[in-house]
Amino acid sequence: MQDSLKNFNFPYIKTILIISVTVFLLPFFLLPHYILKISFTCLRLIFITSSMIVCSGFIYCIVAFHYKILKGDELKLRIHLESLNAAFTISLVIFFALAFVFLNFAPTLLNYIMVIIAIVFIVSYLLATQFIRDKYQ
Amino acid sequence: MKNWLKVLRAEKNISQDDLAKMLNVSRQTINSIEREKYDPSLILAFKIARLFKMKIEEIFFPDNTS
Repeated sequence: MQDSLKNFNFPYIKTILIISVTVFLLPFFLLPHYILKISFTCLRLIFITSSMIVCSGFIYCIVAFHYKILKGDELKLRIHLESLNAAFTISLVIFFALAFVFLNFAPTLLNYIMVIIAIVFIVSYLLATQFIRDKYQ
Repeated sequence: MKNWLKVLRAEKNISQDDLAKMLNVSRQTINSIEREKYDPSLILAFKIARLFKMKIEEIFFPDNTS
């Protein structure tokens, strides 16, 4: 099992990423035209199916990206790990700050905290990658 | 960590790109090691030493100033 996982080289990453993004954006373009015509159950089913496909696709791409770096060049791995470390720390700090602000001043915004933290994590990872890459050049 | 990689590479007349291919790493890694911005892993240090037929401590040595 472990050997097969080690030898698995995560094919079709680009295709899966394109399909995931398309499926993610499709409801925004299609649903406004049909939203009044279709039933609520059907609408829920569409959202559940599309979000499940998108989540699976993104998880596959993230795992593939991580394993490709693990198997690849050691400087890139170092940059990746240091960026993850920085992004995680920044996200954690912002999470506690936002939790404090939202709990005390805007409790309804707590519904969006995970989305905000996800965006913060992605942005901070990309910024950290640039800074750390500069450090090693 | 200081190193003689740039000198050794010049002596053997090998480009950074060729050395990177021989060691199965990126050219950026070789460049960072030569500029002493990045300390290689023990495995990579062994590979470099084996490639130049030298001991690790003959190529890499600690920077006494730090």
